[in-house]
Amino acid sequence: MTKIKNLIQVMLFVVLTFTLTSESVLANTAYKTFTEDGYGQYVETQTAYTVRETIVQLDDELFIQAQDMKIGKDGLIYIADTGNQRILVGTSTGELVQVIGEDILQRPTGIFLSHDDKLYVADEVAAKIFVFQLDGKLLQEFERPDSVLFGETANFIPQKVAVDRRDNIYIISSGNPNGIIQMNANTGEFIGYFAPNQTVVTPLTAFRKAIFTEEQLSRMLDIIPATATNINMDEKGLVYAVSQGENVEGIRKLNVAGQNILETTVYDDFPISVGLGSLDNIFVAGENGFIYEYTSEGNLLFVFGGQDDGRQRVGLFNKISAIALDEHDQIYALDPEKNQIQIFRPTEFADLVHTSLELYQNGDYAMSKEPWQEVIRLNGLFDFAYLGLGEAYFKEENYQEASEAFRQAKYKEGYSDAFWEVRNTWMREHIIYLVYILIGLVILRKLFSFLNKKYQWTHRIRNKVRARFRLKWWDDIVFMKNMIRHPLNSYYSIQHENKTGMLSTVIWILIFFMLFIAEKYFSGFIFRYVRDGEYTLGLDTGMFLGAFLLVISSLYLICTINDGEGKFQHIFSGFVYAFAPYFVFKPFLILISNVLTYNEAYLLYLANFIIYAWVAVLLYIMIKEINGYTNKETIKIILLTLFMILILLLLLFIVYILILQMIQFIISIINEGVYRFENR
Amino acid sequence: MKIAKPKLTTIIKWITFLLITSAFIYLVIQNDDGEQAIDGPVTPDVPVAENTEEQDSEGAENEEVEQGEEQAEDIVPEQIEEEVAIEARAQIITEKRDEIDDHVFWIDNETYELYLKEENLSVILRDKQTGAVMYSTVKDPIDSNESWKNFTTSGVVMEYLVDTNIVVHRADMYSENPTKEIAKTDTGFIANIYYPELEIGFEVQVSLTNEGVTVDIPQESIEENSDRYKISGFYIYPFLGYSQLGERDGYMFIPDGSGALIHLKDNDGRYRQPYSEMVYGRNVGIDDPYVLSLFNDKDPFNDPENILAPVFGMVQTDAEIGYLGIIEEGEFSAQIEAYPSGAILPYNWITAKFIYRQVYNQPTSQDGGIMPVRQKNRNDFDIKIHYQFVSKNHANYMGLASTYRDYLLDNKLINQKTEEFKARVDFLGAEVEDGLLMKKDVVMTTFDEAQQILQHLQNDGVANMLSIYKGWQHKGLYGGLPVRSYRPESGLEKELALHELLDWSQTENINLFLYQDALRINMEELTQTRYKLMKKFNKRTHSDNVYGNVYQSFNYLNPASSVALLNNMKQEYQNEGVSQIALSGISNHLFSYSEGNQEFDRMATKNQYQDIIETYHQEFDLVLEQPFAYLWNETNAIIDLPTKSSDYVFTDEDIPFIALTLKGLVPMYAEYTNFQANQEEFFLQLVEQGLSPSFYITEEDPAALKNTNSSEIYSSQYERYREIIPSYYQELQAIHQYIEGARIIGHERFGSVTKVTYDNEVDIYVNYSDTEQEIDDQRIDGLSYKVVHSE
Repeated sequence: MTKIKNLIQVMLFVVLTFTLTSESVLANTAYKTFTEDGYGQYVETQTAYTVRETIVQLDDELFIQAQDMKIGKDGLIYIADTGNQRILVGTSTGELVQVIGEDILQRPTGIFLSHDDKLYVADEVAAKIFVFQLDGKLLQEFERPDSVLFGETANFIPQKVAVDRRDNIYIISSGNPNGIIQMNANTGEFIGYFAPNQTVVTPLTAFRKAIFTEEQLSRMLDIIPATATNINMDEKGLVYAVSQGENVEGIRKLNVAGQNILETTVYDDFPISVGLGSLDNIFVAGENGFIYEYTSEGNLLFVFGGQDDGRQRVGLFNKISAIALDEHDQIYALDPEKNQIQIFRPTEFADLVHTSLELYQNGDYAMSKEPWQEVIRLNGLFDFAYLGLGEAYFKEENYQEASEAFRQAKYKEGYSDAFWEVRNTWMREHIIYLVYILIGLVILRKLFSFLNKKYQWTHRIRNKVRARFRLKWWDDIVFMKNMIRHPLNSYYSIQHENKTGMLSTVIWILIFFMLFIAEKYFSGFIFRYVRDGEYTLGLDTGMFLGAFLLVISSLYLICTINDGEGKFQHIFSGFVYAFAPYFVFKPFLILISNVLTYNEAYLLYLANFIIYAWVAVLLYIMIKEINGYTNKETIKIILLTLFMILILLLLLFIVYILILQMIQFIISIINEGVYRFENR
Repeated sequence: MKIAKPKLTTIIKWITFLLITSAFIYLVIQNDDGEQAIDGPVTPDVPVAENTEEQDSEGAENEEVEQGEEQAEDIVPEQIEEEVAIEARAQIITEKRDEIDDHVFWIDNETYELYLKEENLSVILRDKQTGAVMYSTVKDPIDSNESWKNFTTSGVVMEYLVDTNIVVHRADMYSENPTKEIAKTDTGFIANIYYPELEIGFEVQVSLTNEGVTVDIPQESIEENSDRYKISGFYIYPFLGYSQLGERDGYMFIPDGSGALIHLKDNDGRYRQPYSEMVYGRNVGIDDPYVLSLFNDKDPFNDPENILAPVFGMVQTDAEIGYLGIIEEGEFSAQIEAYPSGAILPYNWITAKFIYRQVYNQPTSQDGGIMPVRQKNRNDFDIKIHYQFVSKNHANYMGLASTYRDYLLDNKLINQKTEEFKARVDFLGAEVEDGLLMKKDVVMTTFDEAQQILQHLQNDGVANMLSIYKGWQHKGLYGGLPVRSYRPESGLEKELALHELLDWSQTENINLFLYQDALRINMEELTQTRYKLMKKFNKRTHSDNVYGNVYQSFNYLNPASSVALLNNMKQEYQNEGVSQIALSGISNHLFSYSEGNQEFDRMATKNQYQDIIETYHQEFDLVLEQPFAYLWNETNAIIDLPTKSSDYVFTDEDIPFIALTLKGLVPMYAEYTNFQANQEEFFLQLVEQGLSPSFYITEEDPAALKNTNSSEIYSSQYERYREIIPSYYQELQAIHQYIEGARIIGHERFGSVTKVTYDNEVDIYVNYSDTEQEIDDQRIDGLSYKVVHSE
């Protein structure tokens, strides 16, 4: 086969050429890749990153428990070899370049490469920040600031460090909840604390604060804000901080004033490291092995990875301690337990998303349209692409397409704006017909009432029907309209004139239920709180009936023991009929919500507020009138009812738990019996 | 009454007080963990991985069962000392000797000589032509504990269980003092092993063949006289072809997915665990699945590939010798274990372990109470394993693949099938999603649309197509599981009925298969059914969790029910004139199961499946989805052949072992192109492996599937693929013309270029790098390929 003569050659070329550093290994990844849909839920997508290489040693130097890693401008990897008390510098192919800080460092946990080519090292045991030249020469050391402002008892145990272009050092000290320590890199002077995490004041903590002693308070965990776990810095000098803990913003992008300017809907529970890509994309690694890629505005593009748990497959981690990116947007992820670095490279699909994103972020909306469409063709569930596409259409003033794209992206603000424009155009074209129709209707109505007066049509029909069928239930149902005009009289009628019946009340409850369901599932997209395709009818029915029964029965019981005059049927009907405004106006609101945008949202909110307030007033009147209470008594009854509801719920919960336990117990006994019997 | 008339203010005070206290109680219950007080300032809260601590002792035992053996082995000091003396045994012995390393010359034939050490049944095989020798036990074991020392120096190792104790014990040629009687036969020897204390005995038959060595342990020779001690499993020559750290050049071959190699090298103790997988996939009837931590209600991991063929191999390229281990009998209960050096011992070794008995977990309560129970009966199989040797220029993975191909052909395990090039264009018909009141049909591709798509593709030059129609049945792909009658989804029959489509495809010479999963059953849709569900050994119904948007899990049919169902369907299909069927589920799943008080092993499942599949193969034009090797003869094409391995950390290289073996024998179709993130590289892989391309097509935008169980389909709309399919077809068809019916005889990698040689003098070069490469005077463009035909 070495000499090939007399060849008939068949040349077939693959036309497309991509600039990729490709290696032939293309494996079915052990992890799935997800992206975020418009509702903030994860949906599966194409693999975005595959492992290109795994580095376990730099020449013969191994690293142990390495806590941090950064990539230099020249593509060299700097590893804080925490376990071996040194910094290793190597290439991405695993060659050792140099070793820094041997015999100086004691436990380097954080490193940073500054804009002026210095290596900052946070050493938690030495409690110092060391500054090295890139050739390994020690330049400076910073110790605990002795400024009064720093705080007498405040800890200085540097974990992580970052430096901005104005030579401010940002230091995370473990156990120092005051914030990120800010120092001057030239003088070592303490400048202040930067962007501390906020504590959330729950009612419980407020209560505790009121009754606990100083000592008890000082030992409480959740009144001390969580210390940030890691920081990084982009070229503009914005600080990125990640924090772990309950009720803490996991990822923050901080401006100079220390304010968070990032909004993320999903993030890891245990973020450990943050890195920045070429498009200002934010990469966050979770301690348990997941890697997230966000856009600079906080939309999640991809999440992948995971914990190995004995699967032993490439791309999974025991733990991540640091991630960093090189200029080709390859992700380096450091595993301090497996003692290895996995290098992920973007796939063709991720590259396509990045290309589109770049155009989009540069404001090249028209240019970005084509690649976004390609992304959608490759993945019809990639909502962020629809968002980009929608923006492109919007800028082109193609509002119809824009509103459809935003609808796909579930991006309510965008949809609202685009829809406003669409509606506006429609209105302009059709307003004249609307006016005609309106005028026509008014004329018809006038005509009808005029003729009706003359010939008494309705009256005659009504009498006929009444004479023949005696439809009491129909009258009962229609009685609802009186609730709007004369609530007081109507309650009198309910109680004393038997104007309502069980049947009519039940029918109204059914209507109530249907309206409730319609509001939940058929409101306009902008005002709906359930996802597309999410239907929980069983649960809704249960909740609705449960709540209804609970309230009615509690109310009735409390009324009876408090000398209320109302019978059950009266209270029952009165309660339902008190929702008259809801019955009358809600259908219109549901309909109208389908054509409203955020600009007119206040109308809807106001209308809803009026309905609910009105219902509340009617309910109050109902309790008062039907039972013949005074105002004071009525308030008392309402409070008592609320309390009873609470107690009932508690009781039901306890009974539920007990029954569950009992069932489990019986099953266990049977199972064990069967087992013993079979294995005698 | 006094109480009835208290002051209003008092009542309000009482109520507010009660409200506050109850709210407080509620909050305390809610925020319970917030109350943890700690001493001193805040230290970073390291989340401890939830362990078995909170479980009771039974739970802890359960954990042990799962990892069983690994745990027992973990006790051994795992790390290798740096200064391990390398044995440096002779790689090549030029002429016949009376004795090699205490092994006496025993027997020879035309190609090999066998040397035996009776003490531990250790054999040495010498290739007469090249003089290369292969050892089967360690000569000077490294300092380790007694148990491992004995293991490494024994030819056969038995594992046994004591009562219901979950710990597996080992008896080898030294431990437990076996008695050995060795008798010479024409081709080798028969050794009678008996452990007096355990009251267990068996017979090992070793025979030398022209291909290598065959080892049998016939089931009838096994004696188990004790109630207390029961055989758990066997290792047969686990150390055959072993090497220490990086002393030898070569690799181990594991049949993971498409196949993968583990190079023989010093791993610096990087890998703690071996490759250890059951042949033909995990046994869901006994083994508990991975403890899954869901990620936002989703399973964040892809399952590893199954072992499709019962083979493994070891090649020592320095002495140009290697073997392919073919498990001929007992493969249904065999597990392939490959230890890269450093995983427990500093040796590279690969072996098959045969499992006769296992301990399984019997849950005793709803919340995790578990008791270990020993399997009642021994699994029913003989052990028979061929070690077929390769040497000289065949001592590589291509040689192993050729050996396997010859084995399959010689034993009529596969027949030459006509290999016509076709593009595979599958359709998804219907799915279901939740609706307000009932489930809604989601129509993706009607029969009419499918016809138009196929017609359109034909007009665009895709002359030959194979198409599998998924989700054609009433209620769609998952809602209508299993297919119990020929009842196409009515929403799909708008303009064209299914049988019209089938008739049309016949006239147009398109192979249109109806897809049927004969394994899974959707009990959410069928509250009652006459079909029985598969129950695990612990008598729990197995549920296959899919975490879908509509259905969370499916169940498996009991094998007898699968057979009954398929027999029933056979009638239906024949009555309706359906002649082409694609079966899935039973083609790549095997499990043990229980029925009433009886336990059945995988062999029983396999027998039932194989019979019905054979019937289908005779009656219909049948294709099987990713079939296991024992079914390769029953299918007209292999669907969804994996193109890669599972990418384990210790594998160094993926090889297309199955494609190398079967190319030219049976048409093979790759997994769907739709879901590949690197589509160009994937295309090159199709070229390299000689696979036909596959596409999953819908007429509608797959965004409509968002709320269905098929939500993982994110790209399938025909509009997107209408140009890609013809271009793939034309390119691959052009290549196919040169290699039709040809077999692969060479597969070499030069950096990023792979060269595949066919037996009709065609070479295909595939360049995976983006720059031009030059190999054998051939220039291949970046991300491209070249077909060279030399006369």
